[in-house]
Amino acid sequence: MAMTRRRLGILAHGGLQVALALALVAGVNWLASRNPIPGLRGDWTRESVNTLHPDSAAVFESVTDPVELALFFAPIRGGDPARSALVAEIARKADVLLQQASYLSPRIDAETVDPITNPDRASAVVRRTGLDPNEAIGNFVLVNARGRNVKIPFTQLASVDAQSGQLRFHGEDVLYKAVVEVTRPEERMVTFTQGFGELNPTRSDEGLQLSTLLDREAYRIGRVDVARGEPIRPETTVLALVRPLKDYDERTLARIAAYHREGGNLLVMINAEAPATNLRRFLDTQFQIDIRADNETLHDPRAAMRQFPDWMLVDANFSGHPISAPLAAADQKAQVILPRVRPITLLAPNVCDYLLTSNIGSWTDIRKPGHYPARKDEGEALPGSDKQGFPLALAIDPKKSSHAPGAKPTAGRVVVFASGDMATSALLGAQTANAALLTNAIHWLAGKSTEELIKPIAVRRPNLVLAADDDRLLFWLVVVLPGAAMLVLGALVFATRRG
Amino acid sequence: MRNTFTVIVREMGAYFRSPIGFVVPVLFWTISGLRFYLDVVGSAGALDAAFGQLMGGTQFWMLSFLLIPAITMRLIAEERRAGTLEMTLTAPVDEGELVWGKFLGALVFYAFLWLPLFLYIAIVLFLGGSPDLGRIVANLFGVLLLGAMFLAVGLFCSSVTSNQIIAAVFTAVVLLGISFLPEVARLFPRVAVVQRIADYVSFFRHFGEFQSGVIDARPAIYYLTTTGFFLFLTARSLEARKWQ
Repeated sequence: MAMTRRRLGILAHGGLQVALALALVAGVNWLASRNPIPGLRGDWTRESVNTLHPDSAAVFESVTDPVELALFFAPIRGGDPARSALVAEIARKADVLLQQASYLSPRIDAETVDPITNPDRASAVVRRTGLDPNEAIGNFVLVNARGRNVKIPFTQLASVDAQSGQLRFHGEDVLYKAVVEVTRPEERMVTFTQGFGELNPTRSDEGLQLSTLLDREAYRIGRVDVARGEPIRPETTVLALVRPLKDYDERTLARIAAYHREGGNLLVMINAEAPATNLRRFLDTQFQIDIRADNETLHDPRAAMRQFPDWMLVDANFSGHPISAPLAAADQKAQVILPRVRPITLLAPNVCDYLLTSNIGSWTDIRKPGHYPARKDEGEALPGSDKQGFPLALAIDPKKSSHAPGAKPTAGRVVVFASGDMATSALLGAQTANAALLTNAIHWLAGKSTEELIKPIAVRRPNLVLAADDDRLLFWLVVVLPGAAMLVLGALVFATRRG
Repeated sequence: MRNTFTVIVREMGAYFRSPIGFVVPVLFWTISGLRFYLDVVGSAGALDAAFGQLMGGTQFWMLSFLLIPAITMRLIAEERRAGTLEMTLTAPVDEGELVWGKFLGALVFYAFLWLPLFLYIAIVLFLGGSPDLGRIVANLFGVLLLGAMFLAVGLFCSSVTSNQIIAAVFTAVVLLGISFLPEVARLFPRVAVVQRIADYVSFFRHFGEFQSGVIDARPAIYYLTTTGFFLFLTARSLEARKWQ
């Protein structure tokens, strides 16, 4: 009896020890998973491909509301193996990204759901987030916070490079924008002026790309008929004057100037040939910007650039990121620009047309020989060799130039494009750089300069090229040698022991 | 410490006195080498993919589930069968030192299995390749942590039976059980916390971080604490024998 009681006591003691150890392990893991330990995560890859951009990391770290990230992914069974592998690769990268985001903040929860094999779990997520069940189809990432949902289909997460066939993953950029959108307390609105033949973003033929772009970037679209004297809505973040076909009247321009003076941000996109004398004069008097159609520019860029030796905002001289650098530079340049007496000229339309309609390579390839029918035979330097590039758009931040005569410290930001057609679906979709440029311009105007496009890190490591001899050498050294050496060693050991 | 070291040396000697010490490396190196070779040739020299497969592909998991039970099955079960365990435990070695020593001995042997990796890297560099060495180091670190966890599970399974075959099968079943936990958790679709716990416990998920070239404290903590827990269970299992 005493022995049994003692054994029971020992058993209970052992059980308690195990339970305590299990609780300790669970507690440590729970704490570790919820509280990232600063400095204890190292990205050892050569290109730091697993490191989030500081801007997106800051967004994830600073969320104050609970954010739920759910990756809905059902592996493709059957069908094209290459496509299945591609989709699986996007899912893998998305999963890693979601984990990275969740590691940065205890308020972010991430999970992966296979709606085919685990429909109950998928339904639970749909119920919890309030997602429309009809929307829960296909592979996508769902971002939920504050009762708002953003669904990111796989087609937005990645694209396949047409030239190299390599997968380009844009997930970080898209995800952090989605997180910003669902956690942002206020909404931002881009209001388009109407009444003077401007582009209508709600028209499917010419404004579809623009409205899709703004929608994706979480901007509401508003319209104000300024010709009829409608007031500019106070929630307007950016007032857009895009491709007017008729000239503005003085009264309307006075209202726009007042809006800008009171801190409103302006986006002006105007074709050089547009019959908009008043608007051009407005730009000239307010910002010293002259938009001119200079047909000679294309064939004599150096001569054109000599007129503007010390300023250049958006041009072909990209270093690093193609878009953010020029707009970031605008912050400093504006201080120089505003006091200038000489008008600043944005050249249009041929340079703009060339840039905006060329293939994706044009932004970076523009300085390569052969891109222009320049006067090579006359010994002219090729375009861009003077490292000046072509003026296409201008960004002004009056708040940064309070010392400038006439500048109002409360005035809003301004971006002027020397092309109105750029905002049309035909040109906006012509190459990705156009959309990125316009997106960043709007972000910058809205005071969200940190939302500039985050470029995916490109890993370009050449594959190992094997000659026939190398192939054989690799086979013998990798497949045969280690095993054979161990086999011989084993035989020797056993032979010695037997001997 | 000295006792632990003595146990490690004894275990290493035991490995190379038995066929396991040679058969396991020959199998592991030949299959892994073949896989690596086929990946390098088949993927037109995409080295990152080849090294990723070597330390995280299907063959890696299959070998882990098969060979780690083979490494650990004899650690304690053999001593129990031969009746030398009691003798060992009456020597000035306590259960903790014995378990720690046997575990480290097995871990050294497991690390030995990965020696050819350096040969592969050297050959690839010699042939003009440019593998991402940082990613390989992170991946290898994950492989060793995962191996340590598997070995701890195997050691525990070996401590509860005197039959080596049962110990090996038990190890494989426990490891497969842990890996299938997320599938099991689907039986409880309405209890989200069960699924989250099952997802977390699955070692595949944590291994992905290392495989992508990241050394993070959190998956490392998962592997180390799980390893520690199973070593603790093994020590308690040996202690319980005293009272039987």
